Amino acid sequence: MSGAEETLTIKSQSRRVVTARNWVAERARAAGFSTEDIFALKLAVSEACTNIIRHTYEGADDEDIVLSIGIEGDRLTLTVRDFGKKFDLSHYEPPDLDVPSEGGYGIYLILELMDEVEYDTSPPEGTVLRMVKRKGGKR
Amino acid sequence: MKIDVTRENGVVVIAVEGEIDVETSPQLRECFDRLLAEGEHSYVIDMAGVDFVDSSGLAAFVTLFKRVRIGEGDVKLCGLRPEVLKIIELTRLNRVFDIFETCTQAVESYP
Repeated sequence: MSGAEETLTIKSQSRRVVTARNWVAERARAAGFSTEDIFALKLAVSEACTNIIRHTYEGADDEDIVLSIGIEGDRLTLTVRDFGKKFDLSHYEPPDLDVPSEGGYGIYLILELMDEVEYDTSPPEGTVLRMVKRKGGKR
Repeated sequence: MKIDVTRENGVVVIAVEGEIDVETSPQLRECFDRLLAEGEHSYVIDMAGVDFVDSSGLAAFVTLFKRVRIGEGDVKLCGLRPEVLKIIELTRLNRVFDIFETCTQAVESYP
């Protein structure tokens, strides 16, 4: 499947997040990514979908989340697209890690675990979160 | 996700199996709420069967921790697989929760 891009569309429902997670994991596993990398990808896609469900669509459960995966060599590119209000990463404030928090770790974990992260707000509707994970990349 | 609650030497041991995420973490919160209402304040969460945890799961643990500290209790974790431990360390929650390899060690660490 190297080089080919695959897509999956899920509805904005928390019970669908596992579907997205397993879909990403299966493709990463087939491409030879390590257990640690697969866990990181599962976490990143879960956090991304959860944020969209909670904050972008604000609980509306019939909106679309479109995922795509492309794998070239040791580089997996995962995009998560929504069609709701745009997310501006420049307004993001990282959590204070000296104080245990009951929220706010999602984007922080994505940024920590992925090798490249970009929020693209240029489409007419919504935001495209583009993440890259490389074999043997960030640990 | 499966949750199994037992008691050992006055400590509540919550063994979790499966994946903890935005869909399943409310079950965990309900379990914590019930135990807190029963007056329990010493907890061990056995994570040996947990394949995956996201920030929703971490948030549930922190909520429990904050509520039991009011009653001078504690929450300890055990059996974390390396990937889960890494997430705990990245969020520095390893400074909040005492972490043990085995459930027995965690239970015996309570006075």
